[in-house]
Amino acid sequence: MTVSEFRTVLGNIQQLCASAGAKTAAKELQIFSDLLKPYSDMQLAKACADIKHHLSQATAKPAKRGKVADQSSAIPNQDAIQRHLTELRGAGTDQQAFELAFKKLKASKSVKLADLSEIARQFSLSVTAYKTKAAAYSEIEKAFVRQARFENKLR
Amino acid sequence: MKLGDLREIFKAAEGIYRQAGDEAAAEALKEVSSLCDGRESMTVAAFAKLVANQRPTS
Repeated sequence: MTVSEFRTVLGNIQQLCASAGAKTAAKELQIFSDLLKPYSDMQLAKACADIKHHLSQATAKPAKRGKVADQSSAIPNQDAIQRHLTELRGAGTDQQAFELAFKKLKASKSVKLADLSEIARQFSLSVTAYKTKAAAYSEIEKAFVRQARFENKLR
Repeated sequence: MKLGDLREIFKAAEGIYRQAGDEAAAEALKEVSSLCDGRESMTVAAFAKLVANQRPTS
């Protein structure tokens, strides 16, 4: 099945949602359908693989450029990154849960600047290379506020 | 809406299409659902933004 054909399927589901009064779902399906538009001519499996590949590359971008002198500090602590990201994302829009996860992150001594930068990038969906921990912390907090405001708007 | 919620819609639709005998559509929905895996807490809008920054490889 091509992406174009699949978008027709999505259109049918969207219509079903709209007629059932699920306007938000219909709107979000439209957003999803639109994001697939540039892939219209591709086979769906290929497009999905393509998107997954790009997304994995986007999240695995190195924090530093050029410097290879200190390899040990350049290797990200993936376990810590994933653990803290899970906690931060798990908080959703719950202020208290976020503060708890954020406090834990700040207290974690195993999280170096490169790790923190990666967490900040993934959490805030940015591509910024943070030069200080403070900047990365600030971005994480801002991303939470953005997310919470966005969620509130949708309600 | 989060990707986790959208995935639930896809799963429900997959079941409907499968019951109706449209295996191709059901499998396509399953395939697309997998894009949401591991990103359940991300909003659809944020995901769209992320994908929009990419260019399809020919």
